[in-house]
Amino acid sequence: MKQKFLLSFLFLLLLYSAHGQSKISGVVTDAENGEGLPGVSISIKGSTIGTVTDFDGNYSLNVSSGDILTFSFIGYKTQEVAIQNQSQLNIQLNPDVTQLSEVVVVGYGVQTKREVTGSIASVNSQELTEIPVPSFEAGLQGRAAGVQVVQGSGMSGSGSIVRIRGISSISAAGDPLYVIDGIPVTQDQFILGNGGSGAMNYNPLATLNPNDIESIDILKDAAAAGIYGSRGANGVVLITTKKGKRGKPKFNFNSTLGISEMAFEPDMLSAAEYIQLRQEAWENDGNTGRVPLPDGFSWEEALANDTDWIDETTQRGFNQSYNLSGTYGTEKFNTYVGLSYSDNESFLKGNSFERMSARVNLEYKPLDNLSVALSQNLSRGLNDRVDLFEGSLGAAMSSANPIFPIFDNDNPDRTYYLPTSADPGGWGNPVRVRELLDWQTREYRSVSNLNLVYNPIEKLTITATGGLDYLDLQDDQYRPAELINSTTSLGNANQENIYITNFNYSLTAAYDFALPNDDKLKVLIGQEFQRSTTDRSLFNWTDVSGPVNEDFAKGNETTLNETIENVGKWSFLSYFGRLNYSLLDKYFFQGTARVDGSSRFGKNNRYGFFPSASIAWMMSEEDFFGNGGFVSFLKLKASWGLTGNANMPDFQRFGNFGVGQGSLVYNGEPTIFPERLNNPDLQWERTRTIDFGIEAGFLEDRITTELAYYHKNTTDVLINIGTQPSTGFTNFWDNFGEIENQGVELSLNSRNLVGDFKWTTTINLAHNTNEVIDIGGYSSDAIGGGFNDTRVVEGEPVGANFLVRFSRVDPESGRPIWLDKDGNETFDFDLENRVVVGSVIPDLTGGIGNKFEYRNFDLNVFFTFTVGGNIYDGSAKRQLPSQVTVWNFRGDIADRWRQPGDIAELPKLTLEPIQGPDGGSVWQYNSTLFLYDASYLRLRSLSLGYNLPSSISSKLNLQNVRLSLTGSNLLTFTKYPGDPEIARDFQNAQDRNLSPNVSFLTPPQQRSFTFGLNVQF
Amino acid sequence: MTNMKKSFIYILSAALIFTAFSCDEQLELEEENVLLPEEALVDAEDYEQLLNSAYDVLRGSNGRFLGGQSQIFSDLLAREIDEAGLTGDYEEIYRRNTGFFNGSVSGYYQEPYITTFRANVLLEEIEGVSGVTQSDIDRIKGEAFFLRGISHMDVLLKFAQPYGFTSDNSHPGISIKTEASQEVVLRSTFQESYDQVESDLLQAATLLANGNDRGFGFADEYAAKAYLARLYFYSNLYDQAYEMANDVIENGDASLDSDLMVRFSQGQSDEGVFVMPSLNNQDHRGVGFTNNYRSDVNDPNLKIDSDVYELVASNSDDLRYAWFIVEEEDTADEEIFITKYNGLDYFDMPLIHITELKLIRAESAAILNENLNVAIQDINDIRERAYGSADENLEATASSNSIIEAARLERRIEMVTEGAYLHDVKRIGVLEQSQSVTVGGATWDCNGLLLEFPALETVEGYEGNEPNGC
Repeated sequence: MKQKFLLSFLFLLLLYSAHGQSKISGVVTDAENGEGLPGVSISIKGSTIGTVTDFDGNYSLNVSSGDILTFSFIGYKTQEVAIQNQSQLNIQLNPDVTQLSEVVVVGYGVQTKREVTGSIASVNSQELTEIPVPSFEAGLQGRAAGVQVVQGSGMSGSGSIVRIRGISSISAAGDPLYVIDGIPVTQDQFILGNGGSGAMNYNPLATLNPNDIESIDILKDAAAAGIYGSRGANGVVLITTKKGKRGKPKFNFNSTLGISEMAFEPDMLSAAEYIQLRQEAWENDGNTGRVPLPDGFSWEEALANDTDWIDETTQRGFNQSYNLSGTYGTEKFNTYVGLSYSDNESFLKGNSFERMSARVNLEYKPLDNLSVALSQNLSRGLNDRVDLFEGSLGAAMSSANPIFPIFDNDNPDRTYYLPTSADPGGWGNPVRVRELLDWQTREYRSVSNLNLVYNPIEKLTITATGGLDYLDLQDDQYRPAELINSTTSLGNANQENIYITNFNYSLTAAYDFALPNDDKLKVLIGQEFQRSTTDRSLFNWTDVSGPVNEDFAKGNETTLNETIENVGKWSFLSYFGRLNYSLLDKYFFQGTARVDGSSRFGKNNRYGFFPSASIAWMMSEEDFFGNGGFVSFLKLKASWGLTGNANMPDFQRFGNFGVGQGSLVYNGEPTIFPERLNNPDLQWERTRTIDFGIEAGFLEDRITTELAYYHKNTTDVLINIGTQPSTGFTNFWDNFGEIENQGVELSLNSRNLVGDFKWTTTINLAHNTNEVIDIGGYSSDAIGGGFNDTRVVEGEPVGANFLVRFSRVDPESGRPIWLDKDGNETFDFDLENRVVVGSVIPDLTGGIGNKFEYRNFDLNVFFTFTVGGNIYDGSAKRQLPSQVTVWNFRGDIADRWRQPGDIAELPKLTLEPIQGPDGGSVWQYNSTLFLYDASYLRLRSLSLGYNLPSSISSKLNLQNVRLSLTGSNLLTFTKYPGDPEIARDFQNAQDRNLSPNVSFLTPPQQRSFTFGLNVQF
Repeated sequence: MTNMKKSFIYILSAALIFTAFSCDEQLELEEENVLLPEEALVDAEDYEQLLNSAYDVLRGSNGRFLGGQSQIFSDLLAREIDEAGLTGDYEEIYRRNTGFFNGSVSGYYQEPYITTFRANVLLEEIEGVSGVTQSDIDRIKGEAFFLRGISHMDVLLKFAQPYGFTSDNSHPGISIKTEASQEVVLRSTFQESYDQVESDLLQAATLLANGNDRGFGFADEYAAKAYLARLYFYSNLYDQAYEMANDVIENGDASLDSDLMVRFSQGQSDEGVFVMPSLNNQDHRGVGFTNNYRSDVNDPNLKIDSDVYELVASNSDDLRYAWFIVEEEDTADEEIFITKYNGLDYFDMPLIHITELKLIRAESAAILNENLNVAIQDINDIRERAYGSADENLEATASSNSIIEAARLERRIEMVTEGAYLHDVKRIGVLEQSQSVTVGGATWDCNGLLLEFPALETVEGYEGNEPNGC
């Protein structure tokens, strides 16, 4: 067939030759650097005849006198040249720096911004790496409208919660899909189980080196994310890594050195202050004399101990990173190589994350119509862990009472003191746990990608991509005899091994139909398959002398007590297509469709269909709009689409039976029993999105802006519902419920001053409202927030604060007065009186950046903020109690009732349990007393940079040398008496969806000061 | 246009290639090392194993059903347990203000319904299983009815006011599940709940009339009748209570132990009419008792209230004094421990025994004022064992009132920590229709003597108990 095609093509050429044609040739170069431009499209205006330049920019074409040749290339301004009688025509193309010529990645391809009909936000590498963050996704905060990032705590390697246009999931993960160079990568935050594992969810994104990232494009609406079908409802984050560039070898060395400390230091009481308050409670209860102290310490001993546990568990961490990368390219071969090492200590003593990574991106073009690209990333992450609760700051903020000593005063061997009255037990001496517990999590990660692009005929591009993301995680913990209080065992070792093999392949075919009048029709069809397999094994040894690590022989010294293995698997098989039609280069239409089948879907719903349609209109290019003027461009966009979310646990569609083992037999007789019921109807969530957008440029694009409105309606929400216990089961996965999100977004970029002194302002704002329309009649407690106290209530946002309302403190008795459901005051604390008192979802989020440049200096000032929403402090009920326990108090307990007549914020102190007649135990004492406004404004980064004058750097044989000094989280303005950015450890995806901004001894963010050196040569 | 057509052919060819390489089987991923339902329940042996698992749940995970927790709840509400040292969930129950988030209660609550679900599967499917004989069908159904009956009964006692609380028993009962379905249910009335329990136990007794060849640890006709005796007794239906108790005592295999100390032992007791056997430490069926009461290793979590102890200590000849240890006696720090569960890491757990049935029979007879000689003999059998002599025996001419008084006293002592006293007081409250009948300072009919349903049970329209801290 190809031969026939070629013959036809030759025949046509002959026909043209017969009509007085002549051959014209030349070279197309970049006007800025003079290098030849490969792939430039050259066509005779008004015809379908054309060609493209070769790797050196050379071309030749048969033309007739009077023809107009059009030279076009993505990223460059198009040129048209009338042909006279010349046979040689060299063209210099100027880079098109306008907003519309920017190239964005759209999934299975790229488009210019002009062509984009959906809503896509882009973040470049410079923005991403401006401040040191525990993981790259934290760098997105405030950079893209509608992309809310709640950064994880300052613990090393912690992950962030990223929400694109609100939350439309309840039990299924609400995170966007992360795709690196076409591979949907392993992103499960619960690989190592829930937050009980040291109070930090493991973040598999932390091993990706941010310095290897060229750009991040975030697909926000259904028109953009529709091509990802059942996985696109929560948005898609497309990460493109750096590629080799044509030209001489160029190298870049980048190093940062810095320190990190707490952005907010918790204020806990000293021993004397604690005793004073305990005594006050004692006397409030009608007692006289000295109050007995926990663990039976005398007052004198307690005052002498006076341990500052915050000091004992925190530090000024030292951070360092070194990155070396190089690019080199020829006509046939391009390469990028990046090497990286970083070691970041957090502000928690004993906690650090070391990352080593190497990346090689190779592109080779063996034939004119074939190119092969290989991308390989290897990384190793080593997280020295602390147990936040028992062995670190969490204990220091709670059960590690200042009257407890670090070491046993009576023991000359300086053995660690073990408090007996800590609550929970083991939390009383975090230094003991930190020093004795040996805990490391090690990850090896390999992400490989092979990409073949073949053009069998002109304008037809067939792309085959294969990717393998392999993750090898080993979590080792060792508890010596002293920690487990054993006199017979040397110690216990635990090891968890997790191997995740995630491979995918995709095959696409794209064809560009050249139509008359510069109209274009592009069609892409494709198929993709992905499978992920997780092998998990747990080992436990007793009586070993140290961590087993990778030395299994060591473990064999003794008995291997327990081995649990399980395998998780999922797969997706997908077919998709995209059609783009541009009319007169100012009307753009796009349709996408994807069919997804998944191993997670029930047999009655094996495949889902996800279409989208969108349109864009370059209104400013209509004749009636005129040229130039105040408005330099104006583009209107509208889209509709259906996307889905299938990010739920594996195998939930199957019923299963357990086989009795161990204690689960009866009278020695075997047992089998149902554990989960079949659900053949289980399927994806469906989100229907409508989006309207306006893109505009003013004053020759000095100001560019984008305004968008969206409405997302999600039905068939995946919910792991807590059933009536009388069913004989506790929970099951099903599709029901409906959630609505709608909002507006604004992004604005303004070059306020140009010239020697440059000033650029960037603003991103997003407002989202969220409402649960339906949860199928289940009670508010059927869908709880896991560890936290948020709920899903019809008519309210996801993650509603559902609490008993605190009214005031009774001036006479000092007792708290609550409100019942009807708003009447009562002394009875009754959980029946919980009502919705707001939600954790903010009204407005965003970022404001200002960049100033003068000669070789630049200054970046970047603020992030949220307005509205609540923070619920789950630990305050123990830190600001009316019931005095072994927990230490927070400093802001000062405003409490002390004597009759006092008008106070907090009730009187008592040693009496608040449970019983007042209802509920102290752990259920959740009320609006501990609910705070979550609004904050934060100076996220302040960065001063200096580029060495080229006259100096060239003498050093260097292209560019840059020095920078950056501070992060330097200032925070908030009413919340703590760090207002909270993403604690979560129990599961549902908890993560419902409970950002719910704190429980959550560490603050880190404040860092970093010196940076960047050398290009 | 020709080129375009050809291009379409290229694209179509490529699409066909894609499709040819795809395979729907790639989506058929099943969990490893688990049984799918269609593999799990195939033949008679599978259903026997399902039945075993329904028995297994009677203990509850870590004893949180009949392995100790159920009985402890009753004794906390009755304040047969001392408040000293109580915290959290137990403290909340003791204070008779159980919330719907009480983790111990919600942990308990699901267990009887797990048994019930499995029993319902058996009742619905066993007749369709090939290769099962009619006698096995009858036995399996009998056991399933028994398990469902005693599970519902235990919930009914703790979550509903007693039989006779309203004249027509129209007051709220519990969630009754008679189908293996996930359908949401609301509370039935007490009468409906009672009728279901009675019907299940009567059917069990009938279907198991030919015996149960699976032997010790599995329900037989007399196990069902023993529970019927308890049901009728707590319902002030003394005719039926007497009849059932008498049948079990006279015709069943169990007999009163002569040794006071062996009721909770490994294979030494003959008293158990229905017993959960324990084969080893891990299999311990009375683990809830051991974990909370055992006092020979560490001080126990739960201490005994002095009232019940005084009933024993007031008579120095009472051998049951050995069931108690008193520390720092007569001081403010006095603590009383029970010893019934000491000395063994595991023991067979009798859920209903001859001591209880003899005392049911005795009191029923006395209230009916019939068969007083049988009643007196039952009391005296208990007392001779308790005192090692006939010194404390009732006279052969003892009045019905003195028999009733003796029976109630002996029940409270003999079944200390076995969770009976609360329900006795409620029964007597109904019988006497008097607000002066109290338990631990609360009148018999106050809502605080009920547990609250877990939050998840109380779907829209579900009526909670709202315990009031009485």
